Amino acid sequence: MITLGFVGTAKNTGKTTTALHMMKLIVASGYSIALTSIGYDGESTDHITGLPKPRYFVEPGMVIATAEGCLNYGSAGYSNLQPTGIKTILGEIMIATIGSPGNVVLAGPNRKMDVSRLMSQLAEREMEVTFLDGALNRLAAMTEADGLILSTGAAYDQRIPVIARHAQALESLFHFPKHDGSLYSDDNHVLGCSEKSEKFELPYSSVFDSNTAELLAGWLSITGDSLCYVPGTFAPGLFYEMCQKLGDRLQGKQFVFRNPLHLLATGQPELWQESFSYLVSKSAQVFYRSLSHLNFMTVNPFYPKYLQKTANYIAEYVDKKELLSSVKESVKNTLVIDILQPPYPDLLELCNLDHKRKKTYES
Amino acid sequence: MKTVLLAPLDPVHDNAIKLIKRKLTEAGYEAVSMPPGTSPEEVIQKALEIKPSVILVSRTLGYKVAEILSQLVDLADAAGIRDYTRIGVGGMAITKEAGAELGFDGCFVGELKMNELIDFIEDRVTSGEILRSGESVRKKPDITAPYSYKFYDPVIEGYLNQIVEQVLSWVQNKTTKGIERAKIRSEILECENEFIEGNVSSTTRDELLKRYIADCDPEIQAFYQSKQLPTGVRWLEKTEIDRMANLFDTPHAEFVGLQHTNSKPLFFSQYGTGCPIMDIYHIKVAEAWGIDGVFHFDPSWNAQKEGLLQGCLTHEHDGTIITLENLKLIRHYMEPYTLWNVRGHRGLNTPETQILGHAAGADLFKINIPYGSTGGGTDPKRLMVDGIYSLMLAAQFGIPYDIPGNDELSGVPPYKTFAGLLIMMALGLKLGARPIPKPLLCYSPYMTIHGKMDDNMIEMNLAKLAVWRDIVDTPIWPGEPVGFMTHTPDRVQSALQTSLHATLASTMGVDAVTIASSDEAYSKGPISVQARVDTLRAVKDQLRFQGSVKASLTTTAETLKEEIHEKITETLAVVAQRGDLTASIYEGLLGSQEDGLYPGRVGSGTVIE
Repeated sequence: MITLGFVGTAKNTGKTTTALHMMKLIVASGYSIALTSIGYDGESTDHITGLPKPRYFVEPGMVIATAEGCLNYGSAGYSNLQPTGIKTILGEIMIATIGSPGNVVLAGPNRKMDVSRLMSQLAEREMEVTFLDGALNRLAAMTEADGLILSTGAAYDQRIPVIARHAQALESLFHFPKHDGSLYSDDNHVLGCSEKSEKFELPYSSVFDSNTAELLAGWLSITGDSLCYVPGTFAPGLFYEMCQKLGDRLQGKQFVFRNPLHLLATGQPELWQESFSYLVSKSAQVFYRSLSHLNFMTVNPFYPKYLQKTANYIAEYVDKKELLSSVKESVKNTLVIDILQPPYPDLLELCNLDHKRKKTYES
Repeated sequence: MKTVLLAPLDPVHDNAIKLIKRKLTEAGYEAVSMPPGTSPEEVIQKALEIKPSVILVSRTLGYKVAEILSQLVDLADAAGIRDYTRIGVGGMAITKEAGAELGFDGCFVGELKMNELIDFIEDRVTSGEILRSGESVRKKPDITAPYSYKFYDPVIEGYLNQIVEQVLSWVQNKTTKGIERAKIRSEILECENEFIEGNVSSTTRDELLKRYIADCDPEIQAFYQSKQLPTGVRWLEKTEIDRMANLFDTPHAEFVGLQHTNSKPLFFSQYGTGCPIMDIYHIKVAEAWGIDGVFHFDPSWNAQKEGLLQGCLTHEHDGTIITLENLKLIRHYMEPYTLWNVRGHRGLNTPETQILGHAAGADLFKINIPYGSTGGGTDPKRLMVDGIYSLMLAAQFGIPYDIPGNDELSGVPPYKTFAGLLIMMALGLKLGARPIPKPLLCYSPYMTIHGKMDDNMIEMNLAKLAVWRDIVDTPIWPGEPVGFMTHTPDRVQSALQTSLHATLASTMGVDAVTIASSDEAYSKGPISVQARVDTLRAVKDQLRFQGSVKASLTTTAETLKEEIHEKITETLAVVAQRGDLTASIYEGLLGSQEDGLYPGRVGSGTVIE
């Protein structure tokens, strides 16, 4: 089973629009498909802005995983209900097979561990492709996805250069290698290991305060070549300061992070990019314990504009051509498209899926 | 002892956090609070340090604030905290759906409810959580269940027994076209099911319809035979009906009733704009603002013609046409826990209305023979026969019926109205049905003319409620709506009067209250949704203000109560002595022309012996 995660830099950046486009391509290619969301998708209007939203329209044979409280709020018919044991605000997540076409509301698991449980259950159903629709700027639960499609746009910021810079920084974090060393049964502590096998352990999995960061910096400053494993995450400002403080003493050090999405969860990719450039410049290395593959990126010129006078939102757009070209120019190593501005390359191939499969089956 | 970490993510939520901290500490939890304006990173750092069972954050939701909340959730996931800690959120504009989108494990909507909070901390199923069946755990309350209907006043009970025997003896061997149509309608409904299963042919169904049409008035016959619609009526278009599915296909916030500390009274309001779709809007708004139940009001001509129409029909005047399809459409969009009353207390289609109401899923009927057969209503003889048959249907279906005492609005003194209500109760009980009397809380013509409320509107209304407790163990449901004739075109004034009357009734421990929208008396057409919300909000706040405080009767109220009780007894004695309830109504024993009441004329001479 291939799991595709649709993530965004903010609310309204086009995750669901992209997912719906990909769904059409994948269904047309004959794959069995399951849909779920780490948030809440399929409503006709946005909870906050009240503006219209794209809806999931499903066909018979598709499978959905959604909270039981949402099952009766779509027009699609379903059967073969299977409880998953995963609880959410809107009830237990149920897996259902679509019997008659119509709209569905998707509200799936929202924790990393629950996403993992659900993916196992869907794999048991021999689903070939699973869509994991994202929510707002949430990323951490997406570590279970085999490939990511990242959406950004004017809903993140209306200044095109800011969007482009942010997209570039985000994308840059996906290109560090996987660490193959023997690591760490303990994911509850930041760990250090010197070349002389001296061990160091912080009290927590993550670093969010200056005292803890100073403890780590202190240890790193007195060890030579050493490895530091961060199973949780790190406040990017503290990491940057620590790196600056260590300066040339960074040489020969290896920093292993759990996953790029754990870093992106902190919300400051530009600072991470700067820190990592600095590390590389000081002959230190960056690794991940597990990788997330970024299949491609999309941009969306839409943003909801708040009108003070009438206290409501209206749809507004930045220049779509300028947005696409600016982000493309900034992001060199990953395809950037506007899903509503074709043409673009074979998106199925980018997701390791065969677009000719249906024909093959028919023949 | 479980640890709970409390974090106000903006300064204005500090007080809420302090309040929760106090209540959680009192409940035996270790509550750790963070200062106002705490950042998501600081919350996560604290959570790493103290490993709480639950983190509760408070923040008003708005655009771009959502990203702050979701970042907290994301950081918690990335830091591994969500493996052992659940995160809940509360604050203005937060909904369950928004909570799900943001990735929270728990969401606290509206006013602080400590039981929900503690359920979440203990990871228990909360009262609002949705069951696998897709239905809320909120059960439809049964208004009549706690009551024995034991009479405390043997004299009154004796008179009522006499009257009941007289009535049941009188109606024997009598029928009407209304009853016959109800019987045919039952057969048609059964036949529809059999037809779907292939057990009967369409010919059988057509034959039944032919018999039904034969018993209808010409205007209704024209509808069936030549598709001619009555004036001002049109078919609902499919696109209009289909649009509803898109409007109401997402879950709405968990039900929060108007009640504050007490589980009763339940609150009811009417709908009947003429258009089933507009009715659905009204119902959905009323549900969202905490209504417990609604009434279907039909147009007056619906009650004056022999026969009912069929199909989804809309009507340009007040009152929504009773057809099975209209009723089913409305019921379909109602929340499963909303109580639904389909009234049939008057008119030539009273028995058939019960048949259709039952088929569409009604929870309550409304039947009052003396009231329905006066004023512009039905001929007393006709309604007596139809009404008794309707009571039998209510018994057969196990559906309680309420008995509105709105004849007071014509100037009838309360004791005569109450005598009528008691007769209707006794008749229903004898036939196995479960009655709910509805004394009117209002400023009626009788009160105005006789100066009964010159000083205040409390004592007489309290006396009118208290007298029931001395007579019989019954549910009491003041209506209909409360505050009638105190309302003016000023919506604030009207909402205030409704809330005062409603909460006065609440202090007397009544079971349900019917409330009006604040423009109901003066809307000059369909009432507005905003005006509906006015009274719902006003009542809720008044209940909050009052809490569980109970009223006690003043000396004056005690005297008024005794006076009403005595006169009810006298009225029943006269009716029992007359030996014929129908004649008693014609002769004004339950409300005379001098009082302002006269017998109804619609359907006169239509009883078949």
